Amino acid sequence: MRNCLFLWTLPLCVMLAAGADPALVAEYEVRPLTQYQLSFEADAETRASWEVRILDGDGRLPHSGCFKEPWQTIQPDRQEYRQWFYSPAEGVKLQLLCTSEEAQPAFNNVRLDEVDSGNLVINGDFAGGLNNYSGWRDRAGATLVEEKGRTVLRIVPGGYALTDPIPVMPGAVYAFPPGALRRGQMMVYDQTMLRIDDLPPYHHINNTTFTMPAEAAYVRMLFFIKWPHLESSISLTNVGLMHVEGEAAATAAPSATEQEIVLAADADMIEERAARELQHWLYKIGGRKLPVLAKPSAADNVKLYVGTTWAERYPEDLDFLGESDGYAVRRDGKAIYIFGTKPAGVLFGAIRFLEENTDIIWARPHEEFGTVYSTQDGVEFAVSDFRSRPAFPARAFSFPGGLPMTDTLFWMSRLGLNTSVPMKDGFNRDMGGHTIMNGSFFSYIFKVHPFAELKESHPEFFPMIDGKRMIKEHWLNPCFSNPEVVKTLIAGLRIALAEAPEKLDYLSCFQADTWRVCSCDSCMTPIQLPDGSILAPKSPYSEEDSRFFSTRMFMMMNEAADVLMKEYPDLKLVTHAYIYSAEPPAVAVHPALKPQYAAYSTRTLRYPILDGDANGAWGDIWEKRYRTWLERHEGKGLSVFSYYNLNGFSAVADAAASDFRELAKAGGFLAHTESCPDVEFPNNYTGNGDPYSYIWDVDAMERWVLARLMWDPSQEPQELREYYMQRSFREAAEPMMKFHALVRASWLDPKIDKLVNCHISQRDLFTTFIVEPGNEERARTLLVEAEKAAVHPVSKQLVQRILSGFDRLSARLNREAIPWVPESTHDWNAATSTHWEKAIAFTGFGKVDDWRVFDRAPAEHQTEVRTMCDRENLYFRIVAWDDAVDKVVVAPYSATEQFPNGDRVEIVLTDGSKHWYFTIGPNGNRYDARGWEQSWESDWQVETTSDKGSWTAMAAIPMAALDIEPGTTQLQARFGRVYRLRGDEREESSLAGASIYNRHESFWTTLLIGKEEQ
Amino acid sequence: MSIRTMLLLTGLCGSLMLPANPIHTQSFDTEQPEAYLESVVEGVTTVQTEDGGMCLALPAELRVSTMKAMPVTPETTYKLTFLARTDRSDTVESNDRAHMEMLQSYGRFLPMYELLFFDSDGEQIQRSGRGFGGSILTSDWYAYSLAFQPPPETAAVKIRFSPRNSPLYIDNLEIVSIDDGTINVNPEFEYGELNYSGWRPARDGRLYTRPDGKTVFKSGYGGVSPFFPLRETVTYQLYARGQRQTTNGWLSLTYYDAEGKRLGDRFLLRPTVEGESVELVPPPGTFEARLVMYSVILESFRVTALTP
Repeated sequence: MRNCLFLWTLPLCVMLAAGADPALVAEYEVRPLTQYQLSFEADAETRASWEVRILDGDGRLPHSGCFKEPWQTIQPDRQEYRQWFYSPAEGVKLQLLCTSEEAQPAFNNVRLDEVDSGNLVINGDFAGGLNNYSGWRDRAGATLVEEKGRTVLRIVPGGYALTDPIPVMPGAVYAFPPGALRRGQMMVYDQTMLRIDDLPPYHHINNTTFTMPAEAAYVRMLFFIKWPHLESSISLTNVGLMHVEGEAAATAAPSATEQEIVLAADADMIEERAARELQHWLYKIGGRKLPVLAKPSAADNVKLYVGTTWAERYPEDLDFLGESDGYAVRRDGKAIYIFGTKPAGVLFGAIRFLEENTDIIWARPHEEFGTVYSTQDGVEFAVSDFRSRPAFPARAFSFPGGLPMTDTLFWMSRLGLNTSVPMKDGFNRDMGGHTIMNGSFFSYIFKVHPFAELKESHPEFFPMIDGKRMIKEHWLNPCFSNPEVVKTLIAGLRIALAEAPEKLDYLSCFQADTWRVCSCDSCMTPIQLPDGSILAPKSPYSEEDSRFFSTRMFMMMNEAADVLMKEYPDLKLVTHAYIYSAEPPAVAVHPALKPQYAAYSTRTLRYPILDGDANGAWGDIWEKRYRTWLERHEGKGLSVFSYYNLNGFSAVADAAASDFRELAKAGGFLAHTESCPDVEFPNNYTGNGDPYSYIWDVDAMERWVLARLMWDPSQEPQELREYYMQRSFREAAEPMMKFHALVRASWLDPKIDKLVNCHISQRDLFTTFIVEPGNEERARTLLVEAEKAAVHPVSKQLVQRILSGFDRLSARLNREAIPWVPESTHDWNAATSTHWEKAIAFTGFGKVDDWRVFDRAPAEHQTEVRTMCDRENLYFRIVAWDDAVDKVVVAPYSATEQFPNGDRVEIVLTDGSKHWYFTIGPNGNRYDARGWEQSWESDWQVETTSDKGSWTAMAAIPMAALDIEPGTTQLQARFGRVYRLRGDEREESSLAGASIYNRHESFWTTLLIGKEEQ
Repeated sequence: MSIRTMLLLTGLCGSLMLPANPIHTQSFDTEQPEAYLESVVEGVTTVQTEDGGMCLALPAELRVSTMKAMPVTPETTYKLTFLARTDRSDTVESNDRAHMEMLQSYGRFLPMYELLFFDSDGEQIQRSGRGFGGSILTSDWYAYSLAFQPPPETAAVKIRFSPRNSPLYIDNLEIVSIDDGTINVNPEFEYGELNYSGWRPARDGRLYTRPDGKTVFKSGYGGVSPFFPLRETVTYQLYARGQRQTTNGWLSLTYYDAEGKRLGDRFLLRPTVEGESVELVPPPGTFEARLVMYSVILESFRVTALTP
C-alpha cells in the first residue's frame, strides 16, 4: 500500500458540532476509478455514523460517489475504522462526513491511501473484520462471521452477496488470483453502470484468464448457493480478480448538463437500475450521457427524479398505486418525477417513460437484434404525465431450468413482468423480479424429516398406490388425509419461511406432477362436506374421480393456510389447480391460497377457455372448471398457469387476452405462461436441437403482446400487434401486417377444425394454418417484400429471422421438388447417365431398430436415392453401397413378380389415403403392392446394375398407376433398404432412420411432382 | 431331416416348460374328418405327409372349418399347439415383410386359426379383441402355439380354421394345461416369432427371434399385452426385463373390472436388461389387467402372486 495522494487536507483532528446534519470531517482530491482505503480514529461518547461522498468536477454528487451504509457506525468502545471503495468515473473530490444525534466524535489520524494490492475486489479477503462490509453493499442472507480464526462472509440458502462495481477495461485480460474463489457469477456493466451481460460461469471454473467483453466498464461478482439441497451455507474467504494485460482506454462520455437524473443515495438497487436504464438508453438514443446524481444540482435544467423518495408530493397517485408495482410519471416545470410505491414500479415506470418519449421497442430479448430505436440529438420529454397499475400482482413467464437467461431477464423487466427466477438461472433481484419460494408438498415435509429418515420413520406419509406404499423421493404426493402429514407440512413451511433471507412475495407449495394419489383407507373415507352432505370416492384413481381427490388436497392445504395465516397474516400461498385439482373441490378454498388454474392440456389455445364449445371432443370441461373457479375464488386471488408458448406462427394472444380479462374481473393474482429464453442454446426439451432463439424468431410478437396483456388485459391484442409491428419493422410494417393477417385469419377460421395445445408440433402448426389454407406462397412473398422494405438494421434482422424461421418450418415438412427432366424418358435406365445429376438426391440413411437398439445411428451400408420425372413416370435410382456385392443375398431371379427376399431397396408412397409399396433386389427381382393387395400391378419397369462397391436399382413408376397428375399433386415417400437377410449381419436402414412401418408423420418426405417447363 | 420331422422330434415347439399331460390330441393319422370336425364339406380331407403320416387338408375355397368342442376349465392356462402350412404365395419364407403386413393388416387376408369359447349351455362367449388366435404364414410346416386362459363360464373350446384362398394343412394338434409359475401367458415369448398369444405390438413393433434363439417383443409405441387375471386382495409382483428404445421407454398397467370396464392406469416401470419389478395390490373391483408398452423391447414379463 502506498501513501495517499491527497493534495490537501483538513486538520487531522477536528471537533464537530452536534446535530443531525452530516458534518464535514475531511476533504481530499481523488483520481477517478481508483481504489482507496480511508482510515481514521474516532473517540465517541455515543453512537455516530460516517459517510463518504465523492464529488465531480462541477461539485455535483454522483450517485456512485455515495458510500453510506448501515455498518458505517462509530462506537464508543472502538477507535480505529477503515473503509475501502472505488472512486467514481467523475470523482475528483472526496468528503468524509459524520452524523451524530449528540456530541460529535473526535476524529484523529484521518488518512486516504490509494490501494494497489493487485486484487481488484474491494475487501475480497474480508480483512476489515466483522462488521466491515466495504465492497459488499448489496447482499441478503450474507453475514460476516468468525470461522476458524478468520472473518468470512457466510451466505445461507436463498441469500446472495454482490461485490461493489469493479472498474474494468473492455478487451483487457483478467484472471483470478491463485487460491481465489471461482464459484461466483460475473455480471457485466457498461459505462452507464447498466448491467448488460453475464459471463458464463465456466469462465470462472475452467479458464485461468479471460478477456473482458467489449462495452464492459464494470463487473460485479455474485455469490450464492446454487444447490440449496446440498449446502446449508457457503463461506467466502478469498474473492479476487486481477488485471493481467491490456490497456484499452475507457471512453467515458462527457456528462450532459441540460438534463440530469436524480436518485437518492440510499435508493434500492431496483431503483438504481431504473436510473441506469434511463441513463443508458438516453445516451444510446440522444447521444447525451445524463449524470445520475444523489442530490439535485443547482443547475436550472430538466431533472428526472427517480424513486419513491421523491413521490411524497403526489399522495393521490400513491393511493392509486397502493400495494401494486405500478408507476406514475408527473411533471412540475422542469422536474419530472418517476415513482411507484415499490421499487419495481419505479423501474417499470422508467421503462415506460422511455417508450413514451422515444420510438424504442424491446421487440425480443436477443442481445444482438432485440431492440429497435432511432438515434437523435437529445431527447425531449413530451410525455411526462401518466400512471398505470397492473391488473395482476404477479405476472410471470416460466422457463426450462439451467439455461442462460440474462437477456430474457432484461426483456421481461422491460415488459413489466416480475417473474421469479431461481438464482442459479439468473439474478433478477435488481429487475423487479418477485422473491418467492417454490416447492412440492414433499419438499417441505423433507425439511422436517429428510427422505432417508422419513421412509423409515413415517412410511405412512407416502401414498398408498394399489395397496402398497409407494416410497420415492420425487414425483409423489403425500397421503392427504393423515393429520401428521398436514402438521409436518406446516412445520416444513414454517422452516422455509424462517429460512428465507428476504421477504417473500409469495410462497408456492404444490402437488407433484402426477395423477398418482394416495388411496389408503383414510383417504378413501367419504368426506362430510360443510353442508352435511357426503362426498364418497368413486375410484382410487384421480383420473376417475378428480373432484374427490381435489377436495382431499385442498382440505389439506386449507388447514395449512389456516394455521400459517395466524403467524404470517400477509402470506400468499400459491398452489396448483392442475391435473385432478383443476376440478374445483367440493369445499371452499382458503382465501390465502392462490390456486393456479391450469387448463392442461386438452383445451385449444385458439379460443378463450370460456368458449368451451371450441374444445372439441373434451367439450366444455375447461370452461366449466374455469367458470367455477372464477366465481368461487372471486376477490381471493385466483391464478392461471398457461401454455401460450407455441413453436410457430399463431395469434395465440387473442385467446390469452380473453382468459386474462376474466381473471382480472375476478381479482386474479398471477397471470402466467410457460416460455423459453431467447438464447442460442440447443432446445433439447423438444429433442430437435434447435436453439431456443428459433422459437422467438417466429413467436416474439405474440410473447411481447402476452407480456403487455399481463399488465393490462383490457388492451386489444390486435392493436398491440400493430404497435409492435410499427415500432419493430417500421418501413416493413405494412407487409408484416398483411403477413400476420393471413396467419390470424386461418388461426381464427372455425372451418379449420384443429385442436391446438402446447404440444402441437411445429410441422402441424405450420401445415394447418399456413400450408393447407393455401397461404404459403403469399405469406412468403410478403416476408420477402418486408425484408426488402426494412431499412433499420435491427428491423431488417428481425424480418430476416422471421423469414428464415418461415423457410425452416417449410423445409421441415420434408418437401422436395422432383425435377422435371425431359431426358429421363429415355435415360432413366442408364445408371451413369448425367441426367441423373439433375435428379433430387436423398442420402444419410439411419439404422432401424429391430431386436437391437441403434438410436438411428448412421447406417454402416449407405444408400443414395435420386428421383426425377417426366410427363408419364416417376423415376428412381437407388445406389446401395456394399463392400461385398458378390455376397448379396438374393432369391432366384424371376421374370415375373418375385419378392426380393434378401438384400433390397424399398419405396413406400402415399397420397394420404392409399399406400403403394415397391421393392427391388440386386438381381432385378421386384415386387409391388397397393395397400395389402399383392395382386395389384403398377406396370412399372425395373433395371439393376452392379459395380465394385455398390449395386444400383432403377425404376420407372407410371404416375397413372398412382392416380396422380403431373405438376398438380404431391406424394409422401419413405425409402428403405435391407442389407443381408438374417442374423447379426442384417442391417435395415431408412432415410428417416425409422422403420418404414412406423407411419408417424415426421418420418415422411414430401415429393412435389415437378412441372413441365413452358 | 425335414423341418416337419425336426419339429415332431423336438415335441412341436421345444417348450422349456415342464412336460404336461395333454387334455386333447389329434394326429389326423387314423380318424376321418367327420370324427373331429363339426361338419365336413367337399374338399376337406386328409392327405399324406412327406414322412408318411396324414394331415388335415382344407381347400382354398373353404370359408371356415371348425373342430368339435373340447372341454376346458376357466382361468386355467392352456397351450394349443399344432403344425400347419399354407400354399399361398406370400409367406415368411419368401417374403420377410409378410410378418409385418400380417400385423398391420390384423391378418384379415391371411389363413388363420381362432379359439371359440362356449358355456355349459353351448352358448358362445363373446370376448372379442382378446387375441385368441393367429395367422398361418408359413409354406413349410411350422409349430403354431397359443397360450390362453378360457374366460369365466367357459365349458368348452372349439378351434376354427380359415384357409383364406389358399390350401391349408394342419397336423399334430394338442392342447395341454401348463403352469410355468406365472399368472400371465407367454411370459418369455418362447413359442417363436409368429406366436403372439395375444401380445399385440403397435406401429413397427413385432416379435423377433434373435440370432441366439431368444424371442423378444418389440412393443412399438402403445403395444399391449394379453389380459391377465388380478384380484384386489392379492399382492403381486410384476417383473420385466428388456431394453428401452428411447430413454423414456416405459410400461403402464391398466386395470379392468369383470365387465371389461377400464378402472384406471398406472405407471409400472421402465425395463432394464437386469430386470425390474414392482409389487402391488390391485384396486377394488379389479378382475384383470394388461400392459400398455411404449418403445420397449421386452425379453420377459412375469406376473406372480406373492400372497394367496
